[in-house]
Amino acid sequence: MDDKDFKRVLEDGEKLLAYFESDLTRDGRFGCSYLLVTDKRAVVCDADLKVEVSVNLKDIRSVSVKDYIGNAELMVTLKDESVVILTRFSRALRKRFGDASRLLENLAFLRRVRREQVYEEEEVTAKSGTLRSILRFVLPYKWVLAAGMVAGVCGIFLGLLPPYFMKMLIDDVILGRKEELLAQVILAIIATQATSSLLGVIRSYSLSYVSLKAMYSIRIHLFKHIMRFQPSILDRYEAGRLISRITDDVGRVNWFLSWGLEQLLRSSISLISVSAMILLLEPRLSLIALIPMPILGLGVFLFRRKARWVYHYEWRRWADVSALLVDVIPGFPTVKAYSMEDHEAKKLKLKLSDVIKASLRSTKLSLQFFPMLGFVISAGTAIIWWLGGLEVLNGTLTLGTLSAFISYVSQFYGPIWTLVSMVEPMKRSSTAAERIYNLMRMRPEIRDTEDSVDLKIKGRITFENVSFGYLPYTYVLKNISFDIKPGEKIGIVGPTGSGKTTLAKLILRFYDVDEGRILIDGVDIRRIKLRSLRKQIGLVSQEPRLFNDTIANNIRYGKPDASLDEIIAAAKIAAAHDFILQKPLCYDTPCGESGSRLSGGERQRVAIARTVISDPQILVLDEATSSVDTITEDAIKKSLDEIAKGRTTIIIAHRLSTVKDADRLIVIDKGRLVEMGTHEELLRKGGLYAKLWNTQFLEQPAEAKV
Amino acid sequence: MTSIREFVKTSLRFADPRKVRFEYDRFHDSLNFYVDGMVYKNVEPVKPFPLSAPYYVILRVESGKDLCVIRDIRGLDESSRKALEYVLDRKYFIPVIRRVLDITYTGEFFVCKVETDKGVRTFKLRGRRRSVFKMDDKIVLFDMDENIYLIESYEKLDPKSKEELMKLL
Repeated sequence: MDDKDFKRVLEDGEKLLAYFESDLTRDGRFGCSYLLVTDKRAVVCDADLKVEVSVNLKDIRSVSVKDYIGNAELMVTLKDESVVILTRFSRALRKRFGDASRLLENLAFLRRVRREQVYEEEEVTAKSGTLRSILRFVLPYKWVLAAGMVAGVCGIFLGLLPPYFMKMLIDDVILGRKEELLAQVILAIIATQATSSLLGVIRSYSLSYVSLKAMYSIRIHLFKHIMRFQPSILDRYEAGRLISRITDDVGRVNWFLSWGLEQLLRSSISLISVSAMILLLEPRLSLIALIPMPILGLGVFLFRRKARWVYHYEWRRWADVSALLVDVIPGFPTVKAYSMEDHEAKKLKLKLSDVIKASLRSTKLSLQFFPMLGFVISAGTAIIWWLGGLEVLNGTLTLGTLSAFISYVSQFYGPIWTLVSMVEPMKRSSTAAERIYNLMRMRPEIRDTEDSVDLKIKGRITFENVSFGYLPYTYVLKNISFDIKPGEKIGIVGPTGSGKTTLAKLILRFYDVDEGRILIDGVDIRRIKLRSLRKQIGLVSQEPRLFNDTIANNIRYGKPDASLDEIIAAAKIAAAHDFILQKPLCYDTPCGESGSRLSGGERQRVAIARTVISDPQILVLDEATSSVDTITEDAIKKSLDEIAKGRTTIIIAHRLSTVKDADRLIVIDKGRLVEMGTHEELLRKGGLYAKLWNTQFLEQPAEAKV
Repeated sequence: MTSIREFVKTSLRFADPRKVRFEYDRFHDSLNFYVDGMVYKNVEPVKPFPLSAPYYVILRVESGKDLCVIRDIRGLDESSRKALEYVLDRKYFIPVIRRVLDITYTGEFFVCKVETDKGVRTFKLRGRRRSVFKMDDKIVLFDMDENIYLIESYEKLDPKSKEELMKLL
């Protein structure tokens, strides 16, 4: 269906702005229906484009989405208070119809009309590009790979000689009594085997080298690719699942690159050359050798059809285990504190049981096919022995020819069996490759565009009617507008869950706003290069993450070329210097995984040092001192005041004493900006801020605290 | 706007090693520091980066406040350097491993026998993740008693030592 098809639904002069395809019909059945949004109407039609509902935009009072179990509805309330259900859709399309909802809302309220780019979920399906995408990592090593393959192919041809030598040995040397040939034949056999071994070494080393190098490249590429995403990727993929892609899945592809590819080629060439040999040697018997072929072909076909989903299922179970471990092991202290060891063990047992079930399923699948196919091959060989043996007894075939033929037949079935056996690991590898490919195919939603600019930030931050929600139509921030001047110190306060931290994340463009815009020095942040933006904004979050490196290197993370003096100065600003010098190796002390060897307050202070050393133009402190005592917080504040002079500073805090000296305070409640002013102004106003202040200071009269 | 570089100038005092002097007072077991015609008695030298920049020293006074920084103590005159290093060597006992003689694994911990610049020593390590820390080519080992050993350059170790270390790394 495209824009042209929808034209017959439109009225004269009506312009189609966007269309949204649903996966449910209005009467709640799986099927296709369309919501068309034009410059005049919202039109809903079924799969055959029969109009079911039509609503004039000018009649709409409000637009809403109701989220139910398993499905949701997009509905509009008209000016006459009547409610019209426009469309139903499964929860998989929440994002899509969230966009539709906003578009309708914008149109109905004559706001900016912006045709939203509908974000499509990446389908986990195999594409023809899977193999190509993996093979391109092998290309840089093509000559080494070629050397390995040439060695392998030469090995195949050499492998054709020994049976022929055996025929000579039996028919000419032993039965024909040509003793003078004995030494020559034996020497030829030894030389052939020695060369074969050498070629085998070259082949194995080359292929291992290529596969290891390719694995390295894929892992680095995948890691860099993941790093291009915003933190929101973790909303969709848990960390454990991403780790599983880089480690387990890439490891599984290794087999294909190291052996699968070569075996495929080797076995095919071997099959062709041995077929030629047996045909030349004994054409009648060679026809018998072909009997098992159709059965093998059918078996492989059936196996491949079933195997794909079985393996996908099995690896998703493994990914579940990785995700659980990555979640639970860093949270070990919490597990212990709540004595939930048994609970977590139970969860792991369940996941591992699922793995066992899934693995057994794939094992059963293999066992349904491969032993039977192996039997078919053995039966073929037995028939040749039977018929060939009769011919030798009848004197129509020499014993040497039969021995050589049987030897070639085993070489003929060898590659066939290899190819058949390869189907299973090949399937495992290709499934893993699909998962890697799907991840590689994904493009970050937030990225630089061609017209993105580098900006030397001065520090003005403007929010213009900003609305944002993590879920498609659940707003966390709604219609927020404010302007922060360069060098201003702003405190952002509000009850828990009011959207303060989200606001900080939006400034760093971890997410894009749904409506409105954020400007820095008058430039929409969507037009500023991400690197340029983030390099000039320093964020210290409530639970900063340190890396498993020394304290010095963790501070240096904010400025890789920082001098030792700068590291110490930054630590002094963060009131971290003294505690660091108490550590056994001072600044060279390892922080442990995620900073586990430091206390929460110490981690926060190192994180502050890491941020201030980067000399950001805009400093965002999100509950940055929540884990330190008030005396230390005071010390940090004094030093920060010094360094923050002339920089725009945003301090998000629950503890109101932390922000009361700010130039202005912004009070957020339930995602809306409810108050703005200085500490004194807000206390006088007696609104939410005054209430929060009084609550924190034991309900004493506000005036007494001013 | 104060940049971090400017903050370095205001928050740290630097002493030129060529213009200062140290004297070790054996009687009081203290280190005296002479700078700009002043004497600071019983100063405490601290190596903030004992492994990555061992010649960078901060001097602290008895109150625990930083007095000044000497960026490279190798610029001191010989007697001053001797006096300072005498105190520092006592404070930072980090034997440098020259050769790894033997490493065995008991199932619970690793037992390492090494030859260091301070002599031969046998110690126990609990496990790789907690006890071994790599800093570029340096390797730091923390034994079960929280003693610290340093391998200054893994690459420069002899092949036998490297082979032994493979059991641990």
